[in-house]
Amino acid sequence: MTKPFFAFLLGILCVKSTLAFDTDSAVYISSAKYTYQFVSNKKTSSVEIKQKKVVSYTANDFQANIPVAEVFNNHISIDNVTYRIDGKSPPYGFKPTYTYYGGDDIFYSDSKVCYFPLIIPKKGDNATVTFEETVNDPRYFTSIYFSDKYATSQKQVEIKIPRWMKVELKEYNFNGYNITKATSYIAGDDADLITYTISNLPAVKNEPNSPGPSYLYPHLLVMCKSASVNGQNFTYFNTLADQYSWYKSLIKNTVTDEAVIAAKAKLLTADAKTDMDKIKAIFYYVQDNIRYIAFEDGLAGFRPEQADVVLAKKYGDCKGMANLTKALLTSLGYDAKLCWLGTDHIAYNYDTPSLNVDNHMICALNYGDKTYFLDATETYLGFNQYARRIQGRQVLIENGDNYLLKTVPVADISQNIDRQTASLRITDGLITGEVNYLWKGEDKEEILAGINSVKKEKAEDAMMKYLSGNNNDYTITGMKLSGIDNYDKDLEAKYTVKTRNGISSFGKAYYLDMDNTRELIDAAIKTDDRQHEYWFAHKTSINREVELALPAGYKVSALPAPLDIVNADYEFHVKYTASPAKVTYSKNLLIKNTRLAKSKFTQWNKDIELLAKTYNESLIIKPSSE
Amino acid sequence: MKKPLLLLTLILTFYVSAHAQTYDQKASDIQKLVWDNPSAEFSAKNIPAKYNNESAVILAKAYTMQRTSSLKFKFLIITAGVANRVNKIATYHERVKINDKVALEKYSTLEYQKKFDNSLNFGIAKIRNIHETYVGAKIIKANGQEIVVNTNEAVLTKNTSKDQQGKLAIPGLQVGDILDYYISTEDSSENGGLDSFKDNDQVFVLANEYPVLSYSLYFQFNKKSSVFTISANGAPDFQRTTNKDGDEIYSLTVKDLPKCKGEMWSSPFRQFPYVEITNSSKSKFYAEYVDKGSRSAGLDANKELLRTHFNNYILDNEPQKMLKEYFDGKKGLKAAPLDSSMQVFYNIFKYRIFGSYNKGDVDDMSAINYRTAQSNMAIIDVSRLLTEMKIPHQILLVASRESNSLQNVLNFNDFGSIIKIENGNKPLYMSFYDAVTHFNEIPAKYQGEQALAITTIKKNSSNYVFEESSATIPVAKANENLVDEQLQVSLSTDMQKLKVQRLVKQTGYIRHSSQRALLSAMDIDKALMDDVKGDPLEKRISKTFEIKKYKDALISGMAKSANDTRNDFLEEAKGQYDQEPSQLSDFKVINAAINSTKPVFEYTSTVVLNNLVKKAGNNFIIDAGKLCGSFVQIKDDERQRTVDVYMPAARTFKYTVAINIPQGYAVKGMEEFNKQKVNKTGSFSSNAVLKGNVLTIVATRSYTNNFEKAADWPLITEVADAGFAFNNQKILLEKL
Repeated sequence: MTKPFFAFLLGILCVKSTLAFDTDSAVYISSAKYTYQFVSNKKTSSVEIKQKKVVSYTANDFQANIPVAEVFNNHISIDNVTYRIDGKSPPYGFKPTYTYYGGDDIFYSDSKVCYFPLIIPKKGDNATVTFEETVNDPRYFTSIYFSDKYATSQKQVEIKIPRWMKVELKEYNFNGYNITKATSYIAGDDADLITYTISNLPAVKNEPNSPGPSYLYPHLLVMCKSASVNGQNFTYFNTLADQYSWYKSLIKNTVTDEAVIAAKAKLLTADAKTDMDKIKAIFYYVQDNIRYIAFEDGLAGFRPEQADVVLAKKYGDCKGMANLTKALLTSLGYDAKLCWLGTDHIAYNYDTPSLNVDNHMICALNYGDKTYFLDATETYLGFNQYARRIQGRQVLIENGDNYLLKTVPVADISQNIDRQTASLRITDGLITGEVNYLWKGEDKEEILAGINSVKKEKAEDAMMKYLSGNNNDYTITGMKLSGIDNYDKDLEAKYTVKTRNGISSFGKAYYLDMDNTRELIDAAIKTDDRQHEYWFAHKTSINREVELALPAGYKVSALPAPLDIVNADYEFHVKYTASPAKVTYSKNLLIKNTRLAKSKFTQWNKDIELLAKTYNESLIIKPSSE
Repeated sequence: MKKPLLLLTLILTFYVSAHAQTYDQKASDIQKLVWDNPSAEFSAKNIPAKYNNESAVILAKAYTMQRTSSLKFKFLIITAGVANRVNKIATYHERVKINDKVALEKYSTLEYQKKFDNSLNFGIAKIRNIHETYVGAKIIKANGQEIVVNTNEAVLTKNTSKDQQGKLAIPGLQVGDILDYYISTEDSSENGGLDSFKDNDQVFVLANEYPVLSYSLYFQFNKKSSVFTISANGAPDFQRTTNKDGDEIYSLTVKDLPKCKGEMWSSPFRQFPYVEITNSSKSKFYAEYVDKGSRSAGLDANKELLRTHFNNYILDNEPQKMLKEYFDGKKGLKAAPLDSSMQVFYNIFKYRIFGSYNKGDVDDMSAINYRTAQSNMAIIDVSRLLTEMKIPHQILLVASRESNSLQNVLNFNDFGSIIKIENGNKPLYMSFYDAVTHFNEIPAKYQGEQALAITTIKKNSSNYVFEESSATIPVAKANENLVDEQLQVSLSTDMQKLKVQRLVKQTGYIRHSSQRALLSAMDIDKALMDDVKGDPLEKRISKTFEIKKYKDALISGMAKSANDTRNDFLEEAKGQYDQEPSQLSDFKVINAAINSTKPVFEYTSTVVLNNLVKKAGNNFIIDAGKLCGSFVQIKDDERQRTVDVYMPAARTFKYTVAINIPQGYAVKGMEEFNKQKVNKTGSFSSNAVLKGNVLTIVATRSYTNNFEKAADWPLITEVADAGFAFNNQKILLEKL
């Protein structure tokens, strides 16, 4: 009897370790069944998708209280909502709330949410929630995600596809999950039934600096291509040309009053001498004067606002800003085009035609033999500089009846610079001296975004606090900033510093810390907690060159050891150099690859520990006589 | 200033006559009234040069409100009555110069409740309760061009027949522009239950995030209204006039208000000028039959309300019974010293208040430790039972020093009550604040305040007379609000990290936040119960109809999981050291200190801290000052102060840091720790002694009083500076 019991016990342990349910979560999903069915609606002469989601929650604790929510919009309607707790109907008067669904980045959208609180009084009890929905246009039926906010024990996803419907399902991120697929033919309906069975699916986990969900969670990308039913033929996105054709229909007549646009373009470029001056003047005007406000209302979510309307309103979303940029440039005779792309938040490219492929619009400018991409939503990034989120991304560019596919260049690390040079000395037991800073690219963009998020009268204080590197006794005087209003130039800061933070004296010896910013010192990743790979904000090149003049009669007693770490993803270099009259501290921290894979976390943490150890070493200077 | 007031009157009059209009017609007419004949203040385009560097400058702002009412005959299903329809019309009008992108962002969106219909239907009758909002905005460009914003571009984020919420992105707005906008609301209600002084209470602080060149307030009330106003902290009084219809008008205009600056250790409702105004119907119906508190405004009226409650509440003798049982009968109780019996009596009331739970507690169990008592109601039975027991006492009515003063009480919740029991020269106090407040402990927020002392005289069971005198609430001394922390510190074998074993003892006001955070609700409940030999939690829940079906949930939720306890101790350590410890272990509460017999809250934990040790050649530098946590830093722009200093309490922090010095190292820099700064506002002292291989640093920081005049701010900064210098002090471990 011992053996079977042991096997049973092993089984329990295996299930537990595989499930890895978060015991702090109020519930888990004991079972779920999602069914999708393509149907022909004769009344509207269209193809619809009927979907039913039945989810059974089991309470991990007493009085488990979770919000149940389902998002819908102009193309997805919720036809019926029910729930039962332990087989019983909800209390009298149960009525879900239907309301606008807003997000931080979107001013208005047609997204709405149906929600209600689900309270399961007893630990171990079940509640079953059912949503029945209709998608009224196959173009908007784009994906089926398997994961949920809560860990799922068992889930079944059934997709019934009549043979008159041409649809391709592409599987993503199935590796490492317990997912099986079965296909059968239902003769009576002349339809294929595809069934996915998933077990022990962990809950979705939101972590900062993570890839988008399409990189992380098992799901199906649904590509509805065409239908032929009831004597009618429908073409959705059978090819990328179909998708482009649909997009193109939305960008007809994107300027109502061309004269207004032309006059504005002329005014903006009146003092510009060269073509490049004119192009930059237009781009920087849109960046600086058009506030980003996103409207996503049905087709308006795909159709750019008229360029002259954006100009008048001084606000717009990415489509409107791209359209205005294009209109101003074309009015001056330049070859500017609208383009669509998916930022790096999205795992797909245009090999898989779908509305899920892109989420952004920018303007492409063909000038000379080069194509420049102008993204005015990046408010403080200079011309021909690209944000990480669009670098290397495929771009669908309008080109009459056809389209062009290009790629946004991947910027070299030198695009982004954060450089400090300082000339320091010891005066009355304090470190004093002159400090210069220079920022380029996305580093500059971050600083300017920070300055412009603080009230004018407090901006200088905020900047000084930033420059102090959170040191509590770092006094800045005579600060001068340049390049704040000219995005074409580097941002620079110059100031005089007096600090006692980096200096200690014991006897006649001074113990000095020549780095007041100590970047990445707390950048170790909690490997026991982190689930996703880590994405840095952008490529980074942090340089520090600090010279300390030795006081007369002093010499270097001990120099901290250098640090040199080089690998394909990042480099850390720290070095102290002594000469008779001065000590030079130099540091270079390079993030070359913005995506740090989970497999590299251990090495990263070791390297961060070495960097911290280096930061935590002091330079000692003593009187020459000692 | 006559002109704007006249214009405002016109707007108000318009509303009254405009009921039959459509929404758009009304909106259009209001726009004309607001903008067509602007006052000089609302025509201004220039800001004084001194404000050029401000994010935004309010050129003018005005708030107007009119209350009208009419009697309307209402048929209800089983009775008939006269419904009093109250219309309240208010317009907020502001003209602001936008000087930077932060202000642009703030003013670029207008969100409002366009319509909300909360009317009640009773078959054939309807109790009307409707709110409507009208907005307008125009932009004045630097060249003087005025652009009126098309408010029809607003989107509705909610759009039902009864609830419409609007959102408008202001088009064309740029830095350098002036935005002139208004939000006009009309509330029409026949629900007298929502027309109390408390419901209609409005506070206007005469200080702003931005400088204000002109600020006007204008209120017009019909004859059927009662009005109550307060002008506090130097705010001017409302000018009161009567128009030809007999309506009462309250108005006020102030000029050139500088922007307010948030200061450390301040009490805005004691320091910023503000006016408060409220109104209600003169109808006695609700005051007499529905809610006696609904028409009480001001200290005298609320004092009378307290007396009414006093007389009307049915006395619950259960606490007295429990007290006798605790002392094994009347004889035992009589034999007990007064302070002992009163301590038990207080604990019984605390147990009854905080050992009771309702559905709201079940819904949010994380808030149980943060519940506070309604002291004005809690003291009623206490006082009446003390009277029955013939124990002389007073009720002290006192306002929180974190809020309005006692003179500026408007509502019943604007003050609290404390029981003071006569006991020779050592009076005993009972304060009902939170679950961890002790017998004889007065909440820090009341300390030092002037109070109204009420002696209750029982004429009969429903007639108590109040006799009044004045009193000052005692202030706890600095050593009674004490943090005494002992730290054993050792270096890790690689000399990179510090392991710190902490033993923390807290007394007085300082312990409350730690107790609420680190104790579980179950710990507190058990202590409350044990103190008075009370019923077990399960039994209490079973007796309560509202929550007995949630018994399992409540009992389960009140206990903290091991993970929650760890997280709470981790948060505490993060707050202390401004960094997340790389390790946390051996954490536990040693003494919960729920009552005054063991009053010191005591807990321990061990943390490992990074970045406090630096290698220097063969030597090591330890950031020893930082082991005591982060001390207050007075920044350059905080050194000049004109407003008085409201400290949370007089208090003392004492740290004893014992650092184990590794073999083979000598300690240098100890002499820098021998410092002392003492003045009348507080003191800081520190010293370091090496005994064997243990370096002991003792640092004591004390603030003598809970209040200081602004003139003494430099003395406070002296003490704070001494502490801050210590905070940055280091020692050297030199290799021998």
